[in-house]
Amino acid sequence: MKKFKTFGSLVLLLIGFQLSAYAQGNDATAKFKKYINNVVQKVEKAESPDQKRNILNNSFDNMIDTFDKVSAMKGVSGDDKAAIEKLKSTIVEKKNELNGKNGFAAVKNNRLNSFANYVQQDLEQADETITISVTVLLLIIIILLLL
Amino acid sequence: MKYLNFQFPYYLFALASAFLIAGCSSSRSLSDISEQEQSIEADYSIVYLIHGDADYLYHDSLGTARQADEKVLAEAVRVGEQAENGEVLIFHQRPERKVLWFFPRKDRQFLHYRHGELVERKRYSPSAKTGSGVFSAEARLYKNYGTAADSIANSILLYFGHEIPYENERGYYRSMAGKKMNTGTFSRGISSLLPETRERFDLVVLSTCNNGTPDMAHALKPFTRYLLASPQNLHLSHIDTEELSMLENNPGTEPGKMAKKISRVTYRRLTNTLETVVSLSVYDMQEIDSYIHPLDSTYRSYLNTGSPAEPGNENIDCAALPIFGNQVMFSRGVNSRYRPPRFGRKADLETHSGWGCKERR
Repeated sequence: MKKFKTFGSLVLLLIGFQLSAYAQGNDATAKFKKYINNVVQKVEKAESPDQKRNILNNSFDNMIDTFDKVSAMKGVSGDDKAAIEKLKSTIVEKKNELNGKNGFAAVKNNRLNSFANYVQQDLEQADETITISVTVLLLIIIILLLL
Repeated sequence: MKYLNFQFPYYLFALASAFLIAGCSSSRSLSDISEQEQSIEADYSIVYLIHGDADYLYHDSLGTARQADEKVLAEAVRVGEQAENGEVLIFHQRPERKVLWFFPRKDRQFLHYRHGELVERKRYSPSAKTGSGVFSAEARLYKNYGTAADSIANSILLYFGHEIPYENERGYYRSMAGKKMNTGTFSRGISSLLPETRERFDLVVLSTCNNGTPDMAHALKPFTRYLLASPQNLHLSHIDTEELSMLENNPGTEPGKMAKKISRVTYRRLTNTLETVVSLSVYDMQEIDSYIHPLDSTYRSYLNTGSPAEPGNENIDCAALPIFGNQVMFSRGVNSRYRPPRFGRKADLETHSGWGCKERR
């Protein structure tokens, strides 16, 4: 009977583990997208262009800092580092455009809401945008939420 | 209470066993479908292939989180319910989960509407029995359930998903990491879904990013009269298909006309809601026949020389590649709608040839 009990527990544990691993994968990307969406919501609610610009700049800086921190950690694979670098360059490009650097004209005050939506749509529409492994992405999200 | 506590692990074990058995059990045999059921006539046939085995989460303009594949499924069901004179077959390729890593749970879903009524709904799973092609399981269901009558005046196939890679790429199906998806496997999969009575579809719609390309048009040319696809990124809110209801009032509508209408309606909606690029092209396969082979060959030679294009990079306009100096040479048979992104490096590019290409590194 004891063997039967142990086997039953093992089966349940395996099923639980498998479902949890699957859910976690989807959850990590969802959380990252939620973070971006929160930024968009804050920008849209902010009253002045200066506030909107600050929210965007702070969020971009937080993401860039986090990408650098995680990328420098021991144990992060080469593939993950390359994926982080790709995502970071996308965010740096957006920051440059917002502030009119590196050949861009600065985003006009009356178009900041549209720009925030553009950033979100651009990140969400391509599956390849977020190719970082689940564990590393979760780490990025945790640091982002703590900042 | 003590008795219940003692028994609890066994109830759980029984539940887990039932779960395991349910995962392995076969659903109704495909051969159960009667010949009478198959011979019911329909004026038109629409096939929806909805890829859901990847990340399709997006936020709409109100900030609400949505799953693009679920949104398309709901739209496909509405089209099915309105198809009083036709049939609509919907395949939703949801992630394949397995019990204890071995036993498929039949997570994919098949819905079959005929004359506006749901006549079949079942869960299925790709397996060795159905073959190794990307749509083998779907093709098997299609052959068994689809109307094979000559009465079908229009045959349309719509694919919704992420970009189909140009070359061999694993990981397109997140739950089946080893399964390859590329232009070749995809076009062979599409051909396997052709009704026996037809040589080609009237219209194939690719609601994907970056697949309005020379290689995809060339690969699908033998299997469809018209192709609607996006040469650039296409947002997850996808191509609108409810316009297909025009087949109810005008059976036998010319497929080119239908493709242009779907393109026009989608373009209008997307340009009102998106800040990113909007690009839709309708390719008339007969018209492009005279130049698609050399166009694709030149493009392939370009891609195969030097460093390959970086996977996942967005397309550029083929006309911007130096190898295609004169874009007029491949504009015949292409009806293109394009609006540049509102921001970014390409915001000033006001025109597009309607063909998308990867840029070599």
